[in-house]
Amino acid sequence: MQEFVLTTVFFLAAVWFDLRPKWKAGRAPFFLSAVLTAAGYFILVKNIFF
Amino acid sequence: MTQGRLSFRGAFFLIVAAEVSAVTLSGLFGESGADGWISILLAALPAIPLILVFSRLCALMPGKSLPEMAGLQFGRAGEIIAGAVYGCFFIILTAAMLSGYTGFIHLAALPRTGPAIICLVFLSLCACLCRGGSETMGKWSAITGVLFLVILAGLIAFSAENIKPGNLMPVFTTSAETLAAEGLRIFALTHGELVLILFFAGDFAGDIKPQRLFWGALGFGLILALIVFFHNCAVLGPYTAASALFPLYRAASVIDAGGIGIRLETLVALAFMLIGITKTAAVLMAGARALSRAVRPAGVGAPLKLTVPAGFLAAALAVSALGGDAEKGELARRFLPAFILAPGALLPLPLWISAEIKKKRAGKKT
Repeated sequence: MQEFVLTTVFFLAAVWFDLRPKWKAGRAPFFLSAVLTAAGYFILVKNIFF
Repeated sequence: MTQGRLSFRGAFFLIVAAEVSAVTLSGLFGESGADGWISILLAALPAIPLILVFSRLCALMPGKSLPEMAGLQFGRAGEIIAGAVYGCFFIILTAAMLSGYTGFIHLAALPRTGPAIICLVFLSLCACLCRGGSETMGKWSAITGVLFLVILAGLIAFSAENIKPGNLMPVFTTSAETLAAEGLRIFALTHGELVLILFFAGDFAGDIKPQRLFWGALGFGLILALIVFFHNCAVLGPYTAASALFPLYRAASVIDAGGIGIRLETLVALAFMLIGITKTAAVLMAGARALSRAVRPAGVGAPLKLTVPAGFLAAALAVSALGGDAEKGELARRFLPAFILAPGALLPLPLWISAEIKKKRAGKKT
């Protein structure tokens, strides 16, 4: 559970500090970052629970 | 990503950190036992043409990083391909680094803490360092490099009583095939990742002479690798050292240094972590730069800050694919050297050949 909470905090921090400013920078950078971050979060959560 | 100049000292210790991080962690022990030093020397042989190619690339296209060089030679398509290939390569390499150092910290300092937590905290440190830019990275690698050397010298001085020269014998008992195979593995792990310095070549300070930098770092890294090998071998014996997960740390744990014995282990752990942060941050930064070149043409706006997303994905891979399952981890460790060789040593070759042909053609025209 601790791992899940920390992973989620890290994910939210990445979304806030990394993805949010990129929305204005253009579609390609935002979507690439979003895909990488989402993939990382998905793999980590899957690894914690399954 | 903040740009900045990378000084000679910073670049030198960055290359040395890239070379010796695998040495300090794994000790480079394999099947060759006490003959391992021959494999280390053999591994340096293919590094010589590699360094000549890298220096030549830096001289032919000064002030350019590898994806920019690919863009100059093969156009935008070359830049996208180089960016995407090296982006994936460095993300997987970052995952391997994170997996190794997470495993070490978990074993040595935080056995009750989950690997995911250690991995994410370690990644946060590396990501912060990356976001500081090349100048910060250079200063950090120079300071930690010196600190690492001081700790290594202290460890060797305290282990004087535990050194058994008999452990270095017998020599020349391993077959040439085994030595060559070991040499190739060591080459991949120590020199194969040197390609990452080409991602910092665009930030080299004006007074840096690439050839001098690469030769100096290769020689220094080779000497350090031999020192670490002989120390571990003499203190632990080749077979105990080969079976230990982290031989240098194990050697520090058996050294009888009176009341400060336990502190030696802590210092070695500190040295591991410092050099690990340098190497992981450098690889992550190279990966972020490669990916940013793949999605944005050169000269358009500031380079993208892809450090955090790329690092997050690498951490996920490290925790699940590399570190989560012992069988998968062993499989990954076995194939990692082969995986490093292609992008690390072979892919820069067409770039170099193309640059030489273009230069010759330009010379003929004038």
